[in-house]
Amino acid sequence: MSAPDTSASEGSLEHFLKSVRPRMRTLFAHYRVPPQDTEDIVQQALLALLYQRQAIRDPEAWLMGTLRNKCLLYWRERRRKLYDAVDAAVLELMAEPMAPEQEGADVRRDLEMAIERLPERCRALLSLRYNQGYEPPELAERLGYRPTSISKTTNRCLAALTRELTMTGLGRRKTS
Amino acid sequence: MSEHGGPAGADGCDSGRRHEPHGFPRERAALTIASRGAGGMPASRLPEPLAAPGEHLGKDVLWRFMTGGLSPAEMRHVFGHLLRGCPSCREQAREVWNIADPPAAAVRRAMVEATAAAAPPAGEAETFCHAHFKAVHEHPPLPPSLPTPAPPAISATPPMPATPATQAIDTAGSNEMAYETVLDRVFSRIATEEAGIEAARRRADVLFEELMQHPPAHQQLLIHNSARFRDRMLCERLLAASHDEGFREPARSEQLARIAVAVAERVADICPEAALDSSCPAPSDALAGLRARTWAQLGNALRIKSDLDGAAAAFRSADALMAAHPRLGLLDKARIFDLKASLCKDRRHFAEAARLLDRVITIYQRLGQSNLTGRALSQKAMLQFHTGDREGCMVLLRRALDLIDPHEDPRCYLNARHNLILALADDGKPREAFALLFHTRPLYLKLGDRMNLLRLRWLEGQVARGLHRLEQAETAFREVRSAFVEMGLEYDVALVSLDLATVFAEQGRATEMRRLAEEMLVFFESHQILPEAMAAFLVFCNAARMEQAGLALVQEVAAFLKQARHAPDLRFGPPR
Repeated sequence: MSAPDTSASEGSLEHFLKSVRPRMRTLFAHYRVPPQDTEDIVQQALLALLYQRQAIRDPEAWLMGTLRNKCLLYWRERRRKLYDAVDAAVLELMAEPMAPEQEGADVRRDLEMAIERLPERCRALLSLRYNQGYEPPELAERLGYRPTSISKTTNRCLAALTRELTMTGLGRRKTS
Repeated sequence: MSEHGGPAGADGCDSGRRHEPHGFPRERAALTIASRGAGGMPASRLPEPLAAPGEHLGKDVLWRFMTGGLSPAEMRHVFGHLLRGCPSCREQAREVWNIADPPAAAVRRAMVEATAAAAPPAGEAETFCHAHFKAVHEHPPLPPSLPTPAPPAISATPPMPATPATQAIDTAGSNEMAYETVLDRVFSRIATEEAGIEAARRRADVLFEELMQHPPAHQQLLIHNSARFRDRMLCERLLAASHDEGFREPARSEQLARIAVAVAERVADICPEAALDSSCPAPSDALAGLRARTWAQLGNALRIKSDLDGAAAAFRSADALMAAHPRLGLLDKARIFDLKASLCKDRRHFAEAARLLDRVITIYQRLGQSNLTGRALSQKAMLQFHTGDREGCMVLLRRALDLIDPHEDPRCYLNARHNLILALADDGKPREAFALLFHTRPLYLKLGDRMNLLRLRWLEGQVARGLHRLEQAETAFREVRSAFVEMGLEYDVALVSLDLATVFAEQGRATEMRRLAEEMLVFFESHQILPEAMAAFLVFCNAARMEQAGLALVQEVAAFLKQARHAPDLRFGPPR
């Protein structure tokens, strides 16, 4: 490991940053984090390194591990926005008055079929949420989850639903 | 106009008819999209590129949708569009999601695994496992390479105007150089920050010395009343001091931890959402991490003082902070889990302690901190030792020894070697223990402090006893015992005395055992020892007085005393 003695002068920090720069670039490109969004990530990680340097044995490994983790968190948060959108859109769809047209009924039926293809736990959770309007605390109580973990579980189910919808799509009977 | 705008075949499909959702006329579908914005928002209020009725969504919009890069209203709008069945856009979305292509996913999985532990933290992602979810969760949403030059047929769809953001995104995957400007900017700021942090560290040393000149009550008063002491670096300094004192003076360790908590809370008061500059000590997650660590350190100090309930309460505060700040630094989390594992061990919640240590090990591995990984493995090994899994303990200790650098952390290395020798001797492998002890002796001597030398001598006695060199064992135990008496370490006196008693028991020297028991009783009556430990010890003394203390009884009492040291709630059941 070529990490510098971070307790030394500013010069050693410069050397350290120079040595990790190519790896950082490669990492961000690998995770495809938009450059403008990397600024906060890099800044927070490097500041944490400076503040905690006495506890850090291998600064380069620590920095790369931390950046990798932050990239994952970055995407996880972005994905959460996707799941929230899916959730809101489905709730919105379900809240629409029953349209007499074939379209509305088809979309609902297709959505139900997509849910049917999910694992049992998700089927139960999403059916309760979308068909009976259960809120997360009620879902937790009904399905035996801890209140603290229900949002995580719901997100996983929404992830599965999003994947299912994106993979197979709705209205596939019409397009196939 | 077609339902999504553009002529037939504009989206890559050969017929405009195929774009009609669910066989409805195009006009109806176009009306559906145009008339309802997401979340009831009128379509006219949506950003132009997303709202244009009858158009397909561009790949960059879908990419931003898949990666959560749009506003909530836009996100709902796009999903609504997909949900209502635009086959062309769904096809594009599928491509963007990049899960319709298993070989590509497999390659990506291999890449992610190869780049070392890119999966989300186990504890955060694994409440229940299912391959279905794992496929979604384990892979960061790496979209297909962008920009994907649109084929001519697709390009006929009115393209989304490229915004600076999408341009940046487009180049992100393919061009590492796009990061150069950002890195230049951040590195320059960090170089400036470093000087500030160094100055803050020196200032904290001065503040610490100043604070330590006051009595504890006055110290708390100063923290509350004087802004000078609301300093992040001072808090770090207090944490380090509290940790060090834990080995020497638990009461002082607790006192320092309490001041650290007060400082951290005060820093949080004055800087709730800190910006990034020297005048403001830390961004909120870093600050939350610091606060959580102070509570955990207080919990640890209370644990060492055997106030397990107080310790649990302090750890609850640390847990609450961690729950409120899911993006807490990994190192902070690891430190807290590490300390909490010690509490769980003392409370004999071994499964929970093992789970926490597993998380610690995972974090350190992910951060490439081999020394710390070795240290955590060593701790987990001792957990195995306490649960009676000698074999597992030795395996972990050997792994730990491979990772700990003896030059960088000789004390930790020696500790792991010491525990391995102990486990070998305890597991009936005195020859292996002897060999390892022979090679480890120089390290004990090199470290040279009295406590370590006594530990060495004690271990020598235990290994000699295992080899049936009882005279050597007796000499070693007597030496250690007399040193511990002199140092006033009553609990260790009890333990080493029982080791000596096992030698007498093996040799059938009942009279000497009785004399030893009487001496010990006098010593313990004048010192404080845990009531349950004393009760167990009295069982041994009574048996020794009647010259009926056999090897099994001595070993049982000794095993109980070892366990009860950090578990005062443990009850001794006398042998029948």
